[in-house]
Amino acid sequence: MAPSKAAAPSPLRPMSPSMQNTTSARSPLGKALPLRKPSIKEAKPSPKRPAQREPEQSETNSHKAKRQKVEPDYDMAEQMNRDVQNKYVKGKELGQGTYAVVYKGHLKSDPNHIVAIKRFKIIPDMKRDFGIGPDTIREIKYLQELVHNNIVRMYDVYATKDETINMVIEYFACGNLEEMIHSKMSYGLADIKAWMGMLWRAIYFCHSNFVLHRDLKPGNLLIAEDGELKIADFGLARSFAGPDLNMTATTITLWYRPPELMFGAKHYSGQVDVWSCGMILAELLIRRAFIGFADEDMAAETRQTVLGQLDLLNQSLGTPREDNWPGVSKLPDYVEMEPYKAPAGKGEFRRWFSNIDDTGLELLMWTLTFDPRRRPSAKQCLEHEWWQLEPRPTDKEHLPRKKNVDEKHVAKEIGLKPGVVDEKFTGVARKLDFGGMK
Amino acid sequence: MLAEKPTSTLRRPQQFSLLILGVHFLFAWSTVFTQSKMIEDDGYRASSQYRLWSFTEEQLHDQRTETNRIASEKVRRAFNRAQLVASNGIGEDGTSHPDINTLTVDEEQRIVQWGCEKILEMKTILEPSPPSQVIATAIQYLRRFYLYNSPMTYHPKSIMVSALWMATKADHFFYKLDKYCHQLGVTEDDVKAPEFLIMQALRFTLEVRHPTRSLEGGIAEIRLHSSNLKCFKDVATSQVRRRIDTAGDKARRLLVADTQMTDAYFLYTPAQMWLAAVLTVDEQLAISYIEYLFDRLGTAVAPIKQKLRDTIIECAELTKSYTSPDNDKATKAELGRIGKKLRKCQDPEKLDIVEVARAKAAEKREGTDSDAEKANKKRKLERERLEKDGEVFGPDLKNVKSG
Ligand SMILES: Nc1ncnc2c1ncn2[C@@H]1O[C@H](COP(=O)(O)OP(=O)(O)O)[C@@H](O)[C@H]1O
Ligand SMILES: [Mg+2]
Repeated sequence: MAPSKAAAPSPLRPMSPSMQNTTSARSPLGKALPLRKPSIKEAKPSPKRPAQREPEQSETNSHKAKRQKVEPDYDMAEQMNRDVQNKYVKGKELGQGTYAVVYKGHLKSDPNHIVAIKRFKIIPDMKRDFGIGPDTIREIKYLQELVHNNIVRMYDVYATKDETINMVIEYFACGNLEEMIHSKMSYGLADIKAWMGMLWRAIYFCHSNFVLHRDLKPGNLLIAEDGELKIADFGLARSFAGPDLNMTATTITLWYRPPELMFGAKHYSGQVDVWSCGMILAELLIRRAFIGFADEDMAAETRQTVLGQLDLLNQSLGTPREDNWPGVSKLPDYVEMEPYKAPAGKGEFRRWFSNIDDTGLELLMWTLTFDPRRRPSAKQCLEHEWWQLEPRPTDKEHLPRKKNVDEKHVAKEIGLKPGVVDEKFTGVARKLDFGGMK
Repeated sequence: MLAEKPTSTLRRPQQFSLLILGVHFLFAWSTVFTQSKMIEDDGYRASSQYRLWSFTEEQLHDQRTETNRIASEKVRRAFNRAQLVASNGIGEDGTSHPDINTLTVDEEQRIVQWGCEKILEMKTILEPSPPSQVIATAIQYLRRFYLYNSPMTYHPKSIMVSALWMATKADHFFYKLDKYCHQLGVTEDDVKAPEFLIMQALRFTLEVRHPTRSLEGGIAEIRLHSSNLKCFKDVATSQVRRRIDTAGDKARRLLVADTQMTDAYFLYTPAQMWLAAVLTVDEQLAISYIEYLFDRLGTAVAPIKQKLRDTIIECAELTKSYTSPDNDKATKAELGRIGKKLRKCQDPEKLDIVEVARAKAAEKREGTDSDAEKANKKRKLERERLEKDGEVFGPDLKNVKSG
């Protein structure tokens, strides 16, 4: 049960599951320690990642003047925190997530260096039960370690006096893949290939670092201004557990959740993310969720909706049995279900996905294999021969994308019709054209 | 002073090359054998543990000296402030309180060690028992915390339960807060109040790279290549197997306990730590393995062999230097002495983190607590303080549980 009062980014879609097996709250509301009053003192060079763009230490005149004063209550940890916080200026709100409000911001020393500041909400229930939210802790933990071109970059983290944690991340002005899919923009197979390649490279990188993302969906794939696709939202990520430790099965947004999790598997690996990738590929092709069971107002999931999703999966892909998925009936939440026949060969798939070549279709079907042991790893997906075939993935600069929203604002302000921007764009994008590909 | 103190690993002159060497060495090795390990060791250089929490011995000492100096100053000022307020209500005059006998760096280290031992004990108290990795993460959180904070400012007994709580969240081993608190005999506020302090001191890096993970891969490799190791010449297969398994088990136990009580994580890479652990429990096996690695890698890497061996031996010595106070009466007595000293130089303004947090919170949201509640809390706090004062380092966790 994700905290339901918080606004979900897209109410029509199922929400990311989180802390589903958590407790009811009986304890009094806890209060974490707020930071003490700021003190100004000669700054220690703050921790910086080697590869990261290095924001300069800002120095206004008033700042300089106060520096002379000796600060008696000097505290190193606080000072480091404050130095980080002082590097940035927080601007207007960009959007609300389940767990966070995201603001625009920039470097004090360089107003052209735009960042996004993700400020984790204090959710009373969560706070009462956990203190600092496990999602916050996980997202920070993993983003600190994972530096990759296709993973949203985290520059800094700081705490503010009001007991909230702020994460400074890359700013994205071009929306996400979900918006792309549901927009009127046209894109083709070469574009899809480029996006999927970037997605799989990022996932391969995560898995190589023993991290499972566990919430891949179009809404969590952000598009950078240079066309690069970046995975975001590591709030449900975790590192691979050894065989002696259980993992939760209630993870990954329902439409992108693999069947083994719906059957309650407690041990799984990178193949869960690969299933989500398959679902994303399918969705990119048909421009709507491939298999999405939900009422429009569904916010929280129940066993009923899980079974509904599973039934839809079975209708399309065939009900799993011991002979095509050995061990399936031993999974904790396995239930006997309406038997549907598996599609024979490629035929059915071909009808659903008429706009992809045979090799691509094979890869898609492989990623949507019920038995996780026969499903490919991210590495195997990247090694698939599909990538060698025409069309070649579009160069990232030529990928369709929404015009930078900020430029749109500017256009409005100087009196241009918003349409002007879009027209310019359509010139670049190609129409969906899959001719001669079947 | 502080501005000049390099904490970045990039500025380490000598040991830097050694550290890289260790990483590089296993990197080269794994290219020969396993793919996954190559990525792990390569990734180590990008990890926060390497970027922010790796030091030379000298840097480590300098940092602790600086932390101690700042905390001592603060304690003196705080006492001074308290005295002035008591006598005439006037604020600080800027001078230090000369009479306060503050802790030395070594004494601080002993107390931090005590905190680490207590966290290890919590493993046996909590039900279900947290995995060793969670415990190890919590211990490393505590050690990292006290690089930038002094026990004179924040006593480990107020930090350790919270550090472990954060480790359970970061390492995905969840408890219900009320159960957790009940089992450890602490309040929910005790657990939650220091979280922000800890997050800050950890510089918002929550991942700890444990040598136990590399050990699993390492033991698998030793097994795989056992027929090529000198120490197994003409030894029966079943015996080889048993010996490797035994070494692995013993090394694992060492890594989750003794190694945790030392500065090993700050000074060595996970690869160096697991090799050192194997060296400690089965020297011949470790040496044979290292010899074999270098044979495989060829003469080009021969010059670094001695250096690597030295590093690993150094690391092994460090682990061996740890003696549990339970086994050592003198250590226990020393601990008692430091505890008494600490009680006299504990920063009076930070004595109760929960109370500080509460006061700050009350400042901000006035009127959230009814007066009756406030009075209740105050009474409870007094009671707790009294209880705490009766102990050297606060109540023994086991006693709390049974009592
Ligand atoms: N890096 C970013 N750049 C620009 N906007 C962003 C960025 N990250 C998030 N947003 C906006 O904030 C919203 C919520 O962020 P998200 O990370 O999805 O929060 P949550 O983890 O709570 O779901 C997004 O839908 C998007 O509109
Ligand atoms: Mg989101």
